[in-house]
Amino acid sequence: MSQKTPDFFDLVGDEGTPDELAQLRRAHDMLLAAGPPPELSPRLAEAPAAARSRGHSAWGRRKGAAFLLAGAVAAAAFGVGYLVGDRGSSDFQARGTPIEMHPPAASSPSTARASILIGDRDEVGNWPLLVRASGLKPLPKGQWYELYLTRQGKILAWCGAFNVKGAGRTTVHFSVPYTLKGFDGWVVTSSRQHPRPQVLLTT
Amino acid sequence: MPRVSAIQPTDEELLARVADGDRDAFGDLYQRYARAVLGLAIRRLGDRGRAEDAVQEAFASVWRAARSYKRDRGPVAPWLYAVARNAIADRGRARTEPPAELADSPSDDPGPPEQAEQSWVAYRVHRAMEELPESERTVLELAYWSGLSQSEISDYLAIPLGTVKTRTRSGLRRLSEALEEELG
Repeated sequence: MSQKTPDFFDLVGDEGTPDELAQLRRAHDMLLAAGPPPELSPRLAEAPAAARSRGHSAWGRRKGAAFLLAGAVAAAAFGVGYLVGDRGSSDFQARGTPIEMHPPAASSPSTARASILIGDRDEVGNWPLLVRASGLKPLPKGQWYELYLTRQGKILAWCGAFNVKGAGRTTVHFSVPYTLKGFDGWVVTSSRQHPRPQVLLTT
Repeated sequence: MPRVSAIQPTDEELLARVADGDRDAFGDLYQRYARAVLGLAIRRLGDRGRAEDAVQEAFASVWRAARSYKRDRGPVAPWLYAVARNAIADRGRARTEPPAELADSPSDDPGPPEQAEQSWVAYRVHRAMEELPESERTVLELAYWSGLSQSEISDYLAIPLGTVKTRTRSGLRRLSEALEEELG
């Protein structure tokens, strides 16, 4: 990989009217001047919790963050216990620790949780997934939940759909053919049949 | 590949929903602008940790001030830039400044007006890049910010070299059109 400044004519060639080339040149110069935007750290991956209520004081925000942290710790403990308790009941062979999912910081308070265990890749390149969800509301007929892979917050690859009943708990097996290292997160959304699909759980 | 939503609301639509207390819209607006605002904060404050604090404060201000936005006074990007700039300035003032030392000779660094201009241009470029079709954005990011040559991009994305050039040209054209109205 070369690291030199890209040459304008190497990039776009020399075809086009002078006005057209000048227009491209301006965008080229602005891109060089701007440089790359910084990547968001995990801390900034989600919108701040400011949206929980209007006019929060700094103390209110800190208190909210403390409650969120406590909730996250409790959820993690719940998730790990839930998985450990159920792991022996299946022939699914997990290859790592469970990936925990929780509601996005800017969403309404929710007890919904999910976890994903990734199994060993099969001989044709599929990754088996064991997904356990709890606390999700049963959806009306014709709607379901969907699991996606994400990268930098963008929803990119569909992994499967599922539904829940009663207490909102379910365990489902999926299989995906993607190269998982190309992604950095997961989300559960309401289905596209929902009037306004939204991210309900995220990693 | 299935996507959650193929039709993206405009910034103005999102901000109107934020003003009505819509948290999803706030999250979407945040995803669109967070990197641009973080870049702005890092340039102004020179410290990643304080810049991240400033980003959170900036978006808290956006949430609180969304109702003050008037669509007839212009697009969202400059309004959000002004809100973010104020939050970043507040964070900058909160710092305990060491005593200044006079330089022996004039600095070659850009002065405040030039810095402000550079910050605004970078902010808008980063935001405009987010609006490009993914195929064009990816090619431009690889060419300008990852240092790949056109043939390396062609190999990396497994697309013909001619397609790389076509996407580069159309991406630059689209970027230029998006930026020229505001940046002149």
